[in-house]
Amino acid sequence: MLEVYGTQLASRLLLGTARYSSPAVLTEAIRAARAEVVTVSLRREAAGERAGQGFWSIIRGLGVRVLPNTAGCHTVKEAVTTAHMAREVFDTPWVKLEVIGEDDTLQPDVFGLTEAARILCAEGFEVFPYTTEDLVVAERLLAAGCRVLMPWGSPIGSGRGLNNLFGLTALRAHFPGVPLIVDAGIGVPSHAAQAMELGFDAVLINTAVAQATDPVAMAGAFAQAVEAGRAARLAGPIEARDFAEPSTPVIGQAFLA
Amino acid sequence: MRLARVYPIVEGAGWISRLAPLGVRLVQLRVKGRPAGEVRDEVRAARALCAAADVQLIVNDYWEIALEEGCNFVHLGQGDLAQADLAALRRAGVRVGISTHDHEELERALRAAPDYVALGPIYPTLLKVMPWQPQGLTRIGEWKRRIGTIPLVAIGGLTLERLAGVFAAGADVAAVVTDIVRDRNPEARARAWLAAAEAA
Repeated sequence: MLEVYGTQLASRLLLGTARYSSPAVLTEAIRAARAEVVTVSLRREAAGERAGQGFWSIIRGLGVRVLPNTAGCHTVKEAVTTAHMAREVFDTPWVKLEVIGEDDTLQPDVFGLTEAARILCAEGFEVFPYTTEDLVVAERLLAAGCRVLMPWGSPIGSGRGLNNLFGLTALRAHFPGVPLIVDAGIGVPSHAAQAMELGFDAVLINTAVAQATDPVAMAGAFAQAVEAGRAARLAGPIEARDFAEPSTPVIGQAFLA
Repeated sequence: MRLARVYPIVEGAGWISRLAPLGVRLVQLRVKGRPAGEVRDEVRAARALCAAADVQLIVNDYWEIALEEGCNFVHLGQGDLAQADLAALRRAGVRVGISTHDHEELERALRAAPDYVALGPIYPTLLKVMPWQPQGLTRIGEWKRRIGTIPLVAIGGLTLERLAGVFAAGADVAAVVTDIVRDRNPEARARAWLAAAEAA
């Protein structure tokens, strides 16, 4: 079981709720993914196309744990206010903290992020910061009071998978006891399996499922990939080598002349 | 109480979650054409969002739901004014703003001792088909002289470019609808409105 802020989670696949064609497809995708936690963008989704369809009751009706996010926030103040509103509306201390620093890559403003994390942790929030794989930033976030980190795989919605394998591997190795959830950029189930094989504790998927031709089937495929990757990690993968090694050893075999 | 100098009118609580983090301090929720259950859902969400973000919420039309949901400010049109239980609203400490379009409506509004008077439409509006011609800026001054210290809200067809003129004519507060929510980038437009109000 994965434990985040004292909550045990059986599922290691978290699902974002944005960009689905309908609430019905979203509901089915959550079921197919066997997700226990969904992220909800308070600012974007509540004011988007679904606003007229009883957004608030749809989210409450999903029957899963809600992780509100601060998507669309560019400053510490915006993120903090959004977190306050999310806590009030969804009645949860959890917040996935996003402070966006650059519009083309949507990469986190790590300076604003650590500042907002410090404020929110001090106020009793349980913060899931969307960050890069930078080790120093990770240290600062932990010092601010975060007990979970959400490093990106690649830019949000890009589907590029894990851009910096070296950096992500180093992050995992540096913080063996901290739940690390790969957030953003995962495009296909093999990317998710790879993150799990590297030892990450969970993955968060949104666009790759929501924008697939068949989101429900894709959610199921991701569920299998996450399970396979996790099982492989626990099974102890072999090290990669530069040269071939015969899988049928010669030494020790009978020499039959 | 001092009202913020500009405020957006929005059709759902979702817009509050988008605009409040930018520094909006006052917002009116105007839900139109939705089932009663959804209206209540929106009012409840709006109230929670505004409380968390330290924003003053004004609920349009649905004064009974506002009362039941513990909101403390409602906006009444002339039709609503005739129907509403003003005494019950006052007992609950709910403040009341009232729409006016002509002198007769203004006198009726003043008899209800409103917390603000709204005058509209100042300019042609995209949203409502109205029997009134645009009031124009001179009417703002006339209204302000009549109502004295009661805050005057200008509404209808306001754009960022028209804001300075509206304030100069005597309006205390400007209400904005389409110029923000129908902008290609509502956040950027809202920031510009807030900056202009700050400078006014």
